[in-house]
This record gives sequence, C-alpha cells and structure tokens, in this order.
Amino acid sequence: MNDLIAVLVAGVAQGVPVFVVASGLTLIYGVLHVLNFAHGSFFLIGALIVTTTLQGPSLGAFLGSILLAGVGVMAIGVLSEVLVFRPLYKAGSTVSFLGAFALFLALLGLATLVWGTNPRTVAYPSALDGSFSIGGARVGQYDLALVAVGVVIAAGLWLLLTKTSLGTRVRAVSHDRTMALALGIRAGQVSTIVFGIGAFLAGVAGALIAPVSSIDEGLALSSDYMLPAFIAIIVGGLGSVPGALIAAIALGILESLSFRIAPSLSGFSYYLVVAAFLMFRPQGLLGSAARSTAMAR
Amino acid sequence: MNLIARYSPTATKLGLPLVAGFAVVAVLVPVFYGGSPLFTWTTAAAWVLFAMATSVMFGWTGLLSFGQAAFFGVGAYAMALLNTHVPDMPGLVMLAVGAGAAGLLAALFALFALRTSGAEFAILTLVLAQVLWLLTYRVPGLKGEDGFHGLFAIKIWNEPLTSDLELWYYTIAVVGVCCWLLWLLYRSTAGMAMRAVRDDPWRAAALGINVRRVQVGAFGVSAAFSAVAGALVAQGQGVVGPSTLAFSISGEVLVACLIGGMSRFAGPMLGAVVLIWVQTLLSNVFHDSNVFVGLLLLVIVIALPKGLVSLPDKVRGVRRRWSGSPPPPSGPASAERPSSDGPIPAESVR
Repeated sequence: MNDLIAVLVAGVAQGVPVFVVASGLTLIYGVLHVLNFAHGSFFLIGALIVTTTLQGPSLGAFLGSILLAGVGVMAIGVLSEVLVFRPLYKAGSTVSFLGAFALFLALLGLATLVWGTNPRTVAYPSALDGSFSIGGARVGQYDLALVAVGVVIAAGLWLLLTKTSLGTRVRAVSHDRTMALALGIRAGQVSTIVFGIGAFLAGVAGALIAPVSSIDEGLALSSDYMLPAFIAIIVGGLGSVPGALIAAIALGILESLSFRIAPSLSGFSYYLVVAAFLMFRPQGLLGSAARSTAMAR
Repeated sequence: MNLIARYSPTATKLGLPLVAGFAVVAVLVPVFYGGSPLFTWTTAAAWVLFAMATSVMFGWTGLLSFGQAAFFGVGAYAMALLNTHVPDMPGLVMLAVGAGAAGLLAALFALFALRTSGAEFAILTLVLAQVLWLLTYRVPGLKGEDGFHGLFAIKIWNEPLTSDLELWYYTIAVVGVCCWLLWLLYRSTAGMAMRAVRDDPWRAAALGINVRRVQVGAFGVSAAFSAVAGALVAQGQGVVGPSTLAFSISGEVLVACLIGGMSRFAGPMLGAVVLIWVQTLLSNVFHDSNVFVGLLLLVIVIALPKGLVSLPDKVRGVRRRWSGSPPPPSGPASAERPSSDGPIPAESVR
C-alpha cells in the first residue's frame, strides 16, 4: 500500500510534464494540422531559459523564471508560426511536417550556439526540496508540486477550451476549418494564438523539469519527456486534449510501476503500449475513427 | 537521356545510361581529385545511395520518414558488430547481412506504423530512430559513446582496402550496382505501383493494388539500401558511433532529396553530391550541423518545396506576377504535393 502511493505519485509526477508538452502538441495538430516537431526545441529552450534567469533558491524566483520561460518560448512560437507555418499552410501537410522538422533542427542548433553543449543543472527551490510521508510512503515535495501544477494546467485548459469564446473558436476551427471560416471566425488568428499557447506550455514544461533533469541538447528528444509526449498524443488520439491527459498520466504511472516491478522493462513500456495501440486501436483512445484512415488494411 | 531513350528504349529500360554514367564518374573523379577531396567524393557517393534509398520511400511512394538515420545506423552497426564477432566474413556479405537486417526491421516496423495516418507515421519514424540511438547507450554490447573502431581491416573479399583510391573504386562500384538495381525497380511494375500509391492511394486501391503491401515493401527496400549506405560510410570513416543514428542524419538526407527534387530519378543523387560538398566546404563556418541543416531545409521548404527542378515554374510565376496578369487559380488541392496522408484523401472520398 505504501509502495503503491509512492509509485502513483512518482508516476503522475512523471506524467505531468509529458501531459503539458503533449497538450500543446495535440492542440496545435488539431487546429493547424501541423505536427510540431519543433516542440522538442521549445521544451529545451524553456529549460535553458530557467538556467539563465533563475536567481536564488526562493520559490518566488523559481515561479518567476517559469513564467519567463513560458513567455519567452511563446514569443519564439508565435514568430515561427508567422514566419514558417503560415506560408506553408497551403502547401499541404507533408511540406509543413518538413518545415516543422527543419525548425526543430534550426532552433536546437541555435539553442546550442547560445547556451553551449555542456549539461547544466538547476537546484530545487528550497521550499520544495525534501520529502514527507503520506501514510508511511516517502513522497518528494517537488513531485507533489508537479501533481498540483498538472491539475491546475489541466483545469485551466479545460476552462479555456470549453468556457471561453476563444475556446469555442479553437474547437470550431479544429472541427472544421472551412465551416469556421464561413462563419466569420478568423482561423489564421486562432492558429497563431493556439501556436502561442502550445509553445507557452512547452516552455513551462521545460522549466518544470529543470530541477529534476540534467539540461543539455539531448532533452529536445529525450526518452523521459519528448518521446513519451509524442507517444501520448498517438495513444490519446491526435487532436484530443483529454486523450493526451489520460495517456500521459497513465503512461507515467505504467512506467513508474514497471520500474518497480520489472526494472529491465523500464524505458520501454511506452513503446510496447504504442505498439499494442497501433495493433488494436490505431486512432488512439479518444481519437475519431475518421481521422485514422489507414489505407486498405 | 531523352536522346538515348528515343534511339534505344531497351538500353534505357536496362539502365545502361545510368551504369555508363557511374563508370565515367568512377574513372574521372580520381583523375581530378586526390587526398581529402577524393575522400569527400567517396562520402558523397555513399550519400548518393542513401538519398536514392530515401527517395524510394519519400519520392516514389509518398511516405515521409523522419527516421532514416535508424536504417543508416543499423547498416553501420551491423558492419561493426560482424567485424567484431566474425572478422573473417567478406565485407560484401556483411553489407548484405546489414541490408537484410535493416529491411526486416523496417518491414516489421511499417506493419505496425502504417496502421495510422501520415501524422502518426511521421512521429513513429522519429521515435524509432531515437529509440535505436538510445539502445546504443543502454545495450553494453553496442559500446555507447565509444563506438567501434578498426573497420578499415574489413576484407572486401580476401584483402582489406589499403588506399583512398581503392576505397573510392569499391564505394562507387557498390553504389553504382545498388542504384542500377533501384533503377530496375523504378521501371518495374512494382515501381509503378509505388508511384500510383503516392499519387492517389484510394485510386490505387481501387485499381487492385495492395496499398499496404506496396508501402511496406517500399519501406523495406528503402531501409535495406539505406543500411548499405550507412555501412559504406562506416567503412570509409573506420569508426561507428551513436552519431550515425543522430536525427541530424535523418534531416540531412531529406535535404539531399529535396535539393535535387524527387520528380526525376537522378534528382536525389545530385542533391546528395551538392549537400556533401557544401557541407564540407562550409564546415569551417558551421560547426554545428543542426543549424546548417535546419536552416537549409527551412529555406528549401519555404522557397522551393519541390526542389531545384521546380525553379523554372517558380521564375515564370514571379515574372507573371510582375507583369500584372492574374495568377492561375491555386487552391490547397492543386498546390499540394501528392502524399498518402490519411485525412485528406479520406475527406475527399466521403
């Protein structure tokens, strides 16, 4: 029982940054039909901004630099949407995938030019550096804080998407772009905003994992965060934010469990899950069947 | 090429101009180059094969892979492992084993990954390459960052290669034979089926083409020849490390394909030579290949999404705009590169 709580909290804490990245990816895919590989670079740049801006161990300073990371990456995201993806929009999805991959490589290279290739680390904020026991299980304070942040971001996204006019427009464009345009929704503007939100989330996620991970180039496609995020959006169904949430958290818990039960499998549980999903439910948990129309099975 | 085709269709069909072209290049390059430029040409030759192999998947069949480095790396690592464990095996057999391993891996992967649409498939190819890259660090037998050395000792048949010139002849011969095989495939009904699947998977299916089988087959062939290219590069450099599986490799080969343009058979070959030479000449300016490849790919994708071969049309369009006449109608459909992405054909069929 004690073990179970510790495993669950660790798993959810592992899943939260993955969810934050994946939600941005899946939102962007839903609205722009672009698979934003550059999210890996956004994530890395978010973490790198924290390494530069963080002053002192206080919680306030940490929150401040998280916000800075989010806003900084959002600026990069909006710029890249306007400069790269908008011209490519008409050219079809293959070309915009290529554009996204190119942007990923370019931003990654620029980030290493600016920050260098040496791994960096960030100390835990002093208020969250420790652990306490819940029913006998040792739980890290930072892990618990991550869980709380995850709840806040999930709730915030849900409110944004279902209760605001912007959210309605985002869902409309995601559902049927042509019809949304016909109804007078400025789809271009919505795309830019969504790209900004997605980039903001990626920056925040990068900032959140700064204390728990070594920060170097490898983070941009790391097996701990970015690859699981890509897998989470496939398992959850492309374009579905709730799907990404469920998939990211479930995969985090599964990974944490497999680390406890069968350590040799750890790191690979994601790939086994995605293989199983591709076999039996290629459209993902909450994806619509119409999206996934693999040819002539 | 057209002239030859008019006078002797059979020669073209058998790929004689291609073979002759390779023979001429093989003889001429050592006449003009030696030392390190010759080595650059050797690398470029291996990349010619890599770009052609990628074009089988991307240009012919319309499957976009962001993980070609996976198969390139499998070829290189197969070579290194065989050299470590069975050093007496002839190098050409090692090439074949590596190609077979990569082809099987790719076909198995494609059987799973092709159950999804274009977007998920693109993610999965990236994930595959990255997982293999991670495995080189996790599996002790693959030696992590240290990698393998001493690949110069590989005996091609009975003797190891002793000079840059021998390496050049060996590389260009293997590349020539592989490209010739690809030409035969291109002209075969299987090659035609691949292009049909690229242009319109639904219509291809309606014509009785087994779309999935064609796609899986193209993926396997592409991977097998990519592995040969990877093994050739590994042999040339003498070392194999995780960098053969890096995602910048996947990007570079896409750049090579796109520079040349894939609407012609030889486009990717041209692109690979241009890429390797530009990279070598600019290596003092750009230390980090990611920036270089990324920016280059961005420029190509935004300015010339259809490669250098689309330049004449582009120029004509700009001139028309300047002269003030209305542009031809171009909706998303007409501007779109043929692809097998699920959502778009699906909606147009419904």
